[in-house]
Amino acid sequence: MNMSTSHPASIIETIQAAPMVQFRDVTKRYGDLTVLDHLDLDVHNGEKVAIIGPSGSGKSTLLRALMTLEDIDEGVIMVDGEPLTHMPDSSGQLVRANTRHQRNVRGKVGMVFQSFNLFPHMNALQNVMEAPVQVLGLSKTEARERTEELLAMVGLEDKLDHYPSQLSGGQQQRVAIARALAMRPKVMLFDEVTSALDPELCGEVLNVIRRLGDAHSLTMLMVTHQMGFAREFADRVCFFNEGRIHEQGSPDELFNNPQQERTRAFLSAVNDAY
Amino acid sequence: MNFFDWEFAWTILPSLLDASLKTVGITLAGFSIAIVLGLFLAVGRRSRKRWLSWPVTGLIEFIRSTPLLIQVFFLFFVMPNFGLNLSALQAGIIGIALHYACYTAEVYRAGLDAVPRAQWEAVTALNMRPLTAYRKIILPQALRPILPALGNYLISMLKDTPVLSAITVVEIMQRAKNIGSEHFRYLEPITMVGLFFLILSLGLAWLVRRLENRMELAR
Repeated sequence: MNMSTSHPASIIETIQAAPMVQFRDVTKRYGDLTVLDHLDLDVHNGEKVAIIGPSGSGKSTLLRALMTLEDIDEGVIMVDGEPLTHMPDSSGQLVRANTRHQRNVRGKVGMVFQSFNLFPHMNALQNVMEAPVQVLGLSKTEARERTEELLAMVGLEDKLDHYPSQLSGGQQQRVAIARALAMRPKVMLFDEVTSALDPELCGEVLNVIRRLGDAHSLTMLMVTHQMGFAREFADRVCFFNEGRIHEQGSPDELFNNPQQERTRAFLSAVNDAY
Repeated sequence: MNFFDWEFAWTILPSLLDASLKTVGITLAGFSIAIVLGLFLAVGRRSRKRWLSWPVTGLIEFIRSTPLLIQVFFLFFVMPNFGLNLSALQAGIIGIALHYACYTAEVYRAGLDAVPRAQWEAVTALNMRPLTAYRKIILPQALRPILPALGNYLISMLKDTPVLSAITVVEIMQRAKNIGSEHFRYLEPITMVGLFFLILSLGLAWLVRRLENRMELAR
């Protein structure tokens, strides 16, 4: 039985085209300061979006809101067709989500942080294994298998029993990537993941992300200052300014032919700096 | 008063040792309750829910600001007026446990506050439940630096158990006072009680240090 044939083609199209991540009119304020200003953003399944812009422009807040690390004041965030911090009540109105709903939707998102945030009292193996066992209910054996596979993928198969303090920054960040992937998210968020690293260690982390992009249909959002990497890796680049997407387009469009004065100023300032 | 009478000391030793078991028992029971209850109080005080954090904060401050002696008096002599009849030993253990729970709660709080916010963010990103997060991620990191402080409170509690003699608990100090008044000799029993506390306190301090070292190595 083929269900899809009974649907009109337009519905199928809508389902396929439904964005994996959707910000609808999202506003976030800290007191008088508006960090996200009526933001709209659609990210499609498998799309890789790089987010650039000056500090304080709301780039990191965007990712943190999507990870539920920040509450939003207005608007709705949708992940894989479901509201993240809201849920429909009996009359279909969106109300604040309960913990259970939020946990269900949040499980589709994983995040890698600028400062790695590994658990210092656990070795690499335990860091990656813990959540799959505790949250997904995997058996120790299954979780260990998954962990060994992932740590091999990030090139750390020989560091399983090393504690974070015994690893370099680049190695720690690769463990952190494996830890996030072990939860099998549909969306991965990378928040300035190379900013805390010495320049010669950035490459090993970027290589892992590059391979991840090639091998998986993961949707990725990446806040970065590495313009070279954004250009090569991303399907789309969003330039953030004052809590809004000031300009966006393919890397080629945005980097080679920016339309907005503010974008040009930012890019030339960055070029001067590096 | 004559100089130390070794023979008298020898004859009262079994009686004092017998009472010392009660002192040790009270300390172990009281501290076990205190470190568990203290953790709950600390988590309650840190809660973002005010209906929880405010009463807990009030309780902690109230108990820390009044003497242990008055608290155990209240439990033993006053609570019966409200229909709560506790034996002296029960009142004593509950009183000292509650008192020290409020001190250990503040130690736990300092330990929990010292765990970086980023650890909580990692835990959220991995979708862990708060209980799992506390148990597996936050507490193990919070405990290590506060272990010496908790050890100090264990020793301090041991040394506070003689307060319970005021509500007729016959622990080692009360036994020594009884012996003294029966024989009109206080030198030996009181000296021996002092030595008992000295030896036990030093022993506990040594144990705590060993535990710290083991946790350091386990890192």
